[in-house]
Amino acid sequence: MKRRLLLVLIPAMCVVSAIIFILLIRAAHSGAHCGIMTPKRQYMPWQCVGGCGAGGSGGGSTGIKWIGEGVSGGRLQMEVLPKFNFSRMFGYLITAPRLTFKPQGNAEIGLSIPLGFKVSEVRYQTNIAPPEAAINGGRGDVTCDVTRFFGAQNQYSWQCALTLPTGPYDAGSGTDKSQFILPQSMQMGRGVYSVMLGLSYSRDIDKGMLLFDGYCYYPFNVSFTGKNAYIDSDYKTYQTASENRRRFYYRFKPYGENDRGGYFPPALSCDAIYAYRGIPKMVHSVQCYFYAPLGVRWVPSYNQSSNLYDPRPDPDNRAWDAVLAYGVEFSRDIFPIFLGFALPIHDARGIAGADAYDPAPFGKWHAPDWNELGEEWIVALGFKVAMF
Amino acid sequence: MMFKRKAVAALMICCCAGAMSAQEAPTGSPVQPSDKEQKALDALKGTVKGLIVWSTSRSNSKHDLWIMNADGTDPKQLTKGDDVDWFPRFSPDGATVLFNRSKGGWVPESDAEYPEKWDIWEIATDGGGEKKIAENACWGVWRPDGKSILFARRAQVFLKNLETGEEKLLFDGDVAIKKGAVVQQPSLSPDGKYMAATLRGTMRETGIWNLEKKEWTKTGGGCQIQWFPSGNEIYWVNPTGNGGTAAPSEELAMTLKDGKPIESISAIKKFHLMDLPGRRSHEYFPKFDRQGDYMVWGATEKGHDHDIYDYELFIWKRGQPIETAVRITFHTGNDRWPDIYIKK
Repeated sequence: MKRRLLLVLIPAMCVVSAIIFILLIRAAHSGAHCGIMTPKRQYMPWQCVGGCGAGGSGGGSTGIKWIGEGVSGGRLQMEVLPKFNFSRMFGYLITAPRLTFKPQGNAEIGLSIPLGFKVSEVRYQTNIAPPEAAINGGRGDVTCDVTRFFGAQNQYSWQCALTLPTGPYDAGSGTDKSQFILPQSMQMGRGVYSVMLGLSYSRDIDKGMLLFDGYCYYPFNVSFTGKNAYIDSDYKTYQTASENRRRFYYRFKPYGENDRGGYFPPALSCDAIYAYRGIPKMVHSVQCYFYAPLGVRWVPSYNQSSNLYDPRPDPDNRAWDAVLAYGVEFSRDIFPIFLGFALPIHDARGIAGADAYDPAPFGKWHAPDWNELGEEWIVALGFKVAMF
Repeated sequence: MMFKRKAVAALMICCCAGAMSAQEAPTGSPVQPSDKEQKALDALKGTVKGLIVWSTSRSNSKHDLWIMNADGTDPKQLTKGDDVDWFPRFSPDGATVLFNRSKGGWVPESDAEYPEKWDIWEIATDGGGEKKIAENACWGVWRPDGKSILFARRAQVFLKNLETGEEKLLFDGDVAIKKGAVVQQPSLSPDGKYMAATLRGTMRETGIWNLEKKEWTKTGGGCQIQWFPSGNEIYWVNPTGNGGTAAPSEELAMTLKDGKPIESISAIKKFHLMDLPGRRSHEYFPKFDRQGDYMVWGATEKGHDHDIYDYELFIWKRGQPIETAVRITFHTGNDRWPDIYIKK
């Protein structure tokens, strides 16, 4: 029954995403008649690969990155690149419209506002409930970033980003009396702040460009009230527990633990991208990403209704993840379109030992999980527009 | 089901074919100068005596040459036809214009590396005497004596004596630099000892070739490197600087000694030549007159492709503040590769 539900929901999501995409394009078109573009501005091309020197990346997301022709128009630019991540177990449609503004030729300020819809068959690894279909959606964690290009050809850039915990991170499922917190992969937010520092290098080559990026992420948390958001309700019994006092009463946590006890370790990621622009009006790109957390992610107690503060290592934690992607930009004059396909490759999942609180099994590096290879895919389809 | 599959396949092929087809430039339409631009034009009128020739799509989406007075007045069509005419260069006496012409209809500028698609022609500034000067050649420029021209054939650079018709190989990038290197817009120093060139293909840089020592000196990246008439400076287009919201691009100049830069390219702030304020700041095609006093160039506020986007031409007297640069074309067609001849 639940499988059938998934079979209906995933195609429905595809249709909805297609409709959203068409509506956005129509909105962009209609914008041309309501002052977003003036009649003189005939073209809206894009920054990235382009010009007679090294370009830069569009910045932002991992998994599939928009790589396209250079130059741009308008003071404000928007990239909309919805990504549909699916396997036979889940389907996530996430888009993070990224608004960028260039105060100077070598600097860029960006704002990403993730919106998404997720449906998945949830298999709680607690043996307390059978698999069930769960749905979640809404806004995610907003990220603002600053990019500065430098070098004789602007071939280098550094990027600094701050992610704010604006998305819900403890969405649950079940009845009022028996609420289970959904796995982290189904949450829209993480409940922690995060800073990201990145360094990019791009090099012009014959009819294309090579791009290398390296990023480090450091999550932390801030409480403006000075205490855990649930200490006065769900976690009342912990108010006097001295051993955990610093976890419940804090203004700043120099580590990435949210108020439900979920923990996100710092992480490193890198990518290498080759872009080919030998065919007029198209830019092909081959992209490789690698991501490795420096620790094991912890998740809150599954059973939210018990008011138990009982974090434990996330059984879904992967010691590393990689993505191989191919993208093509149709470098159109009015607004370019990008289509991408990606194949995620995951580290084989660690198997819990006798101690459910021992993170060691989940932090070990393994070979890829070959059984899962090819079961999960990401398809991205998006556009860019310029305004003002 | 089969029909659906075929329909999807046909749709995808159409999309790809549409995207892949080479695009000619828009013929565009005239636009009115702003009050400030009109005021600057009025102030320029009559102050500079000479001619500007350039390639434009305003009369033909495949580009013809147009010519006007150096103060932006009296623009008129110089060449006419269905081939692409571009990269015009005045002869030293200002009476003749050398230019590239495609062999068959629309050929994008990015195909300049295929000499078999181009010939070099000349035409008198009054529109007469149109004739072919060199076969299978591109990037033709006059030597100061007006008796020979320099041009490129992919990796090779030749000097052609116009009186005898003899072609002399000056440089072979395949041998001298790297196999697969392509030479763009070679520029010989006035004394003929050094050649500045933009390399593409397997190499992507700008530099100076010492013809005597047979030695290549990289000056940096960017493109469209050329010699100043004085012979001790070079200028080129670099992907840095202002750009408004367009991709960065500016024009730089650097002093050389014995064909080598005196300072490292990393001291880039010292080399600024022209970087327009505002959004129309994607500068390309810089060219000085033979005395090195006036520079003309093109700039767009969006789009990079040299032969498609809405580049407009500017003129500026070197040494004056960059705000004194005057826009001299007002048309949404593509205007590119200007050259200026100043009457002494």
